[in-house]
Amino acid sequence: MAQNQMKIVCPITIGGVEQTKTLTTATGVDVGSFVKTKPGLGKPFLAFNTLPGTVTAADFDGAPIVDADAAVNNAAITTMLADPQPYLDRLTFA
Amino acid sequence: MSTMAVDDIRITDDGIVLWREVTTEDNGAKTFHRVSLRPVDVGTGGLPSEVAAAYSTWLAGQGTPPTRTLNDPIPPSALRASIIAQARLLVSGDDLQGVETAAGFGAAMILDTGVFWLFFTQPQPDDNFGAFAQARRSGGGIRADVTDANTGYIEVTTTDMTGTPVTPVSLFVSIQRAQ
Repeated sequence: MAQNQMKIVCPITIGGVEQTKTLTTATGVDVGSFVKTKPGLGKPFLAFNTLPGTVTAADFDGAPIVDADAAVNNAAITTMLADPQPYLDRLTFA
Repeated sequence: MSTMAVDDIRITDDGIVLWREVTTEDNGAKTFHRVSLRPVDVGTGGLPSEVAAAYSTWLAGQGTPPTRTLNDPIPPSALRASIIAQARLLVSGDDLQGVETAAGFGAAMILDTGVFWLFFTQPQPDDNFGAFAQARRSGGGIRADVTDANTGYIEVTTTDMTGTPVTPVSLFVSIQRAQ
């Protein structure tokens, strides 16, 4: 399912250290499939249409986990986009 | 080690006899096959024995008769240069506002000032590809360098002419591979 670009907040390993980063997805990419590549299966992620600032940290407890089934991931994304506030509350901004 | 074989003899529309040789060279690491087309100079002799033998066989009607002329082009290389991924990043300060006209890249992020990671939609089978990056900013004076490339992502760093990292307005990245 191709989607408009969105922001994916997730842990990314950089230089051996896991950091919270914000990905901007490409227009038209199937985000439910792409998250299997980054952040990868089993990793938590949060999805937003927009973000009010630069994210410096995130609370991933209870966040959706990347599933091998893209449809499951897209369903989780749809849920987060429909009511983003509880997920925005998990973020710390610069 | 080099070996040569004559695998075809044909006649062009204007009656010139040509032969084709396949030369195989093995340097121990790779095997190269070179195909060449040469006119048969029957009158002066000096033909390689392989050519003479093949030509005699053909003249005797025992070989495969030519089915086409040697004016046919030599088959092109099986490898072609292909763009496997591209994207244009739109940047405003420390916000990556868009990943446009993208194909093969699923997402991108700002790692630090002037440092960008672009993630392939699917991991590449190897890192045997070329990456090209071009940055723009108001007033110019910016350069883009591919500072890391692997099967999962590429890293592009944008700097001013003194080498100081700077933020571009846009960044175009293209990945090419021979396949």
